[in-house]
Amino acid sequence: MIALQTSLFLVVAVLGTMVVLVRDPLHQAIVIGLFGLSLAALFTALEAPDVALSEIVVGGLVAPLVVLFALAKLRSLER
Amino acid sequence: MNPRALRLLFLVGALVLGSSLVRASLKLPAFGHMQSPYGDAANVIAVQERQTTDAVTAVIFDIRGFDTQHEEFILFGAVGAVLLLLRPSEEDERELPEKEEREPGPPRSALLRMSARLYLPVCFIAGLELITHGQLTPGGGFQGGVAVASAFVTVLLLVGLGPYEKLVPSTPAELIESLGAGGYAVLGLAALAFGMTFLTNVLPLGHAGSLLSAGNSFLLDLVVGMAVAGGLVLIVGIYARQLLRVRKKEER
Repeated sequence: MIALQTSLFLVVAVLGTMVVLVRDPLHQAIVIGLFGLSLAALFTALEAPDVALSEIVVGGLVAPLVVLFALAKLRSLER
Repeated sequence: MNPRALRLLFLVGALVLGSSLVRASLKLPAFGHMQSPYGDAANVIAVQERQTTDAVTAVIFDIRGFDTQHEEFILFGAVGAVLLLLRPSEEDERELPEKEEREPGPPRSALLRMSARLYLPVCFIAGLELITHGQLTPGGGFQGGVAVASAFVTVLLLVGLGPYEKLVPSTPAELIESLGAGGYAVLGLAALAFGMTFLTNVLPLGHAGSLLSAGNSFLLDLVVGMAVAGGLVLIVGIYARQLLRVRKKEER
């Protein structure tokens, strides 16, 4: 159990750094989705399933969707 | 301010904040050995007094039900703001009448449409399960509501905007969302009819572990699920219609 939690902590840390280091907003939206999923896995390993479910729906669905819609609107405004 | 001075200012601030954070985290209880009297009390009260096997739902809808009402109204207001900001302007109405339903791009393949047809009922039922079993298993109104909405959003992504708007036209979605938001307040007011304070439990509590347990929490789960699902469906629909409008404008 401890090994699982530690490894998930490391995955969350690595993905969080990647979210910051990825510069293109389109790529960042996808990495944010992955980060949300890894965070949900961490919450499940820490025995908090309600929080994990909320994180999946918000971080995996709503956040990338809203960012992608905003990006599409901005890109069409530029043209 | 030149960049060097800014960098120096940042370093000073980061040192102060960083050292305070490190000192504070060293004084926290050890990882995994939480000392939380409220948590222990909530665990006992949830199962024995409120007849809920999901302590989180007991805290959200029963012990602190008033805060959840605020959260729901925040969501309701945010959805209203998005609908207000992205509504079609008069110029849009003149240039692109809404009856033009042909979307740009080739029609979607049969594989995508079949996948959407298979996925929609499964995801919808899973979302309903999350909503109605909020007091028994992890889940609840919010998570289940977003799962139900994501079933329809997947149809939008796989098949297109026309079928999506036939599936969830905006008027029923707005109706469901408003019923959800208002229903919470109505359930709270029902307690006033019995002479108790706002949002007191009025339904029988039942036995922990059966579906009809935890009194008000069951109905509050349903109501919050309706509000969240309706709100999310509306937001995604109006975003997609905005994009369609912009793309059609480019075509001309």
